[in-house]
Amino acid sequence: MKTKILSIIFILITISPISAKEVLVVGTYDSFSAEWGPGPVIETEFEKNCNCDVQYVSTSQAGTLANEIFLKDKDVILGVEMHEFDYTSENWNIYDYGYFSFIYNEETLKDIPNSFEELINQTNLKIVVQDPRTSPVGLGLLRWMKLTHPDNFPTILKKFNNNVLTYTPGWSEAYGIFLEGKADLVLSYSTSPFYHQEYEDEYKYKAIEFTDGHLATKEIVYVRPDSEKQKLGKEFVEFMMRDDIQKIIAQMNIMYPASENDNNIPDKMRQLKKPKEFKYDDFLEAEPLIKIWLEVASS
Amino acid sequence: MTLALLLPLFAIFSHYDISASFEFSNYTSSIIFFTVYQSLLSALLSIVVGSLLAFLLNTYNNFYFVKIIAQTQSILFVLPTIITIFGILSFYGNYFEIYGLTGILIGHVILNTPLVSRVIYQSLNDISPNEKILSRQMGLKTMSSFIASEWPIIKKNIPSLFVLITFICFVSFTPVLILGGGPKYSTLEVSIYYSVIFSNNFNAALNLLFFQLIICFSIYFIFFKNFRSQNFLIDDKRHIKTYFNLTLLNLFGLLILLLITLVIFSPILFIIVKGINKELFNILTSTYLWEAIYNTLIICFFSGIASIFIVYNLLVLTHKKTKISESLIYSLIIFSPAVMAVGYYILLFKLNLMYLPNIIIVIILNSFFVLPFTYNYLAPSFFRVIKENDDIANSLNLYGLSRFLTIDLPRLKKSLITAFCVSSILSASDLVVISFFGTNNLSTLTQTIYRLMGSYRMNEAYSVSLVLLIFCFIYFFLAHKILEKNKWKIH
Repeated sequence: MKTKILSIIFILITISPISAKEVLVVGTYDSFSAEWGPGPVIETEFEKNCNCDVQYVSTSQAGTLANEIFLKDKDVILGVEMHEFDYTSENWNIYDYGYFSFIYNEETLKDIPNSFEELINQTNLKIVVQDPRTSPVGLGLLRWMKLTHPDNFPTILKKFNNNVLTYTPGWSEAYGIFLEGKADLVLSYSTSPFYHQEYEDEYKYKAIEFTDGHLATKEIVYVRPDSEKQKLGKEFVEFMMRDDIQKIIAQMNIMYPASENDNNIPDKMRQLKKPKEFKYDDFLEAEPLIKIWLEVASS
Repeated sequence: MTLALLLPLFAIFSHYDISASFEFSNYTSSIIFFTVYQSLLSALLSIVVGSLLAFLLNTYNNFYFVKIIAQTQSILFVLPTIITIFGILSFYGNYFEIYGLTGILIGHVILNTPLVSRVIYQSLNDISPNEKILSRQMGLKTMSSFIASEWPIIKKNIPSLFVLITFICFVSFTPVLILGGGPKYSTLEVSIYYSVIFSNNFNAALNLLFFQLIICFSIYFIFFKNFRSQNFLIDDKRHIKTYFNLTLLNLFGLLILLLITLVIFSPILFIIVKGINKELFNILTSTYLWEAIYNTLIICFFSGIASIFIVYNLLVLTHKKTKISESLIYSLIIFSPAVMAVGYYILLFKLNLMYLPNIIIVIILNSFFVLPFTYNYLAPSFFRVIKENDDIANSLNLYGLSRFLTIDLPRLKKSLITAFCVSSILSASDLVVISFFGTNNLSTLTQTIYRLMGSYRMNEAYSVSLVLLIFCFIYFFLAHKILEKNKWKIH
């Protein structure tokens, strides 16, 4: 039996197709590369000119795009969050961005808080957010809260925690619980209503605007320094900034295009109110924030 | 088998820094305590409800609908956990303070009861009709008849099921995170996952895994001490008619049966209601759905075959020393899936095997991950059959394959089919392996559900969940029909 397995494996290795084209392996997350995401269109467009073969290797485990082990054989990484990027690559671009925000259903929630303070004082609010240990969105909330409330972060967090229905492993679970009507607010992006408007013709979902400002989240595409395909990788990274590609990204990734102009931002996205961005100097490390969160939320 | 377990660990160990210190926080110790408590309690409740369900299913199995319930209950494992949890939240969220220990227990009972019930039901089916008739002839009342014939069988299944379910709940991830409501209720597995995937801290992950192993092995040895004495009869002409009398007790029994079924099947009802929506037609005409169905089918079928093959050989090799094989198999659950997957990932890199077609890697790893379940479905019947047939086989001088084909197979057929079906659909529900080793051209139905959810497409996700359910239903049905058609002669 062993020899049988080995021989089958051998045959499968030897018959795997050999292509003369240069292959560009792009590591990304799977909502990007999925059939309904921007990935396939971008692949087709790029392959028109490069005489190469773009192959996406995607992960659904959030956080793996920042994990060295998973990046080994990839040429380009697409979709790493700016806080998780180490900036050692020479060729990188921010290709889209958004703001963390709470989404609500205007048919069921009438009293809209417009700051963290108001939110924690509305003790009957049920909020669903992501676990910062397993989701970059959940971690984003801690950064956002800490930056806007550097002095009383633990106090605010503790009160906020009382309103939290549950912390989910990832964005999908939280958003699903919200859409099921089990929570009043969900932590997501300020552009989330665009999806419902554009694809479902549904206008009842709205993003809350906080007067303190919102934390921006930016997605980066970069060429791995140890990839042998620096030139091709660089072309891909630059290609992502082309106007028509930026429009596809905004349209299908439900985020603002990084080099925003009148041509590449979808109409309904332009009509959304862009929240005030909270400006800051230094990135906050994840570990200490998670430690505080664990103390506060598990007591 | 041992290698399969140890190699990925070695791979991770190569990233281990011996000199680093390990901080054992208060949080970790409170989590350990809670995990032990929660998993033992979940297992206990699942076993009580599951045994009751199995007993009722067996008692009333001359009703056609009861047979259907008995056959299809395993389909419940295949629903992605998150969909089951949405179902639970919808059904019970309004009546209970669902987030917290209550939620975790409800979730674990709903997720694990079908597993218990299916295994025990299978064993109860093996009761010799003679035994039942005998007990009836002796004029035993329901309770005494239960104590005389059913209870010994249920009792024999309890230790292994208890360990299995305790382990499953011990490493529970999504149910505990969502239904727990906050980090106060968590498992070590969540911390391990965080260490491996997010903070790249293999040291912390391995230390936590080490604790997990110690605790789980303690549980294993405490509950497994007095196990094994399979000495009841087996009979192949198992078509016993239970005559149904319209007594109050019987009506009550049926009522309880329906009630448990309703609770257990609530996630399925949820999916049927949610899955039939305006996106269903679009989904059915999309190419990605059919590709996913095709991939799922291939992965299911071959993982099922492979895991049956491994378990059967392991049973043959070690059935005299069951402790070893059992502890190996069960430890597959507690070796955190995250650590195992990352370990295999590193390993395949080191061995330069990443060029293997991913589908083969996925099939091989899946067949490993489902072994504990395959084992639980196959082992009880296997031990009985082997024990009974040893003398015949020896006297006929039949060994190895010829013995298997002529003597053991006909009697093991039912259990083999069940074990095959369950292992298959469990591979279909896998998310860890496929998300580490899947590619764009290789996604399964379960993964498609998550991908859809990950890009706002909740209705589509529900529709694909419905498709997945129907897929499993057909798979079960066909497997039983095809395999049962081939009547083997009993020598």
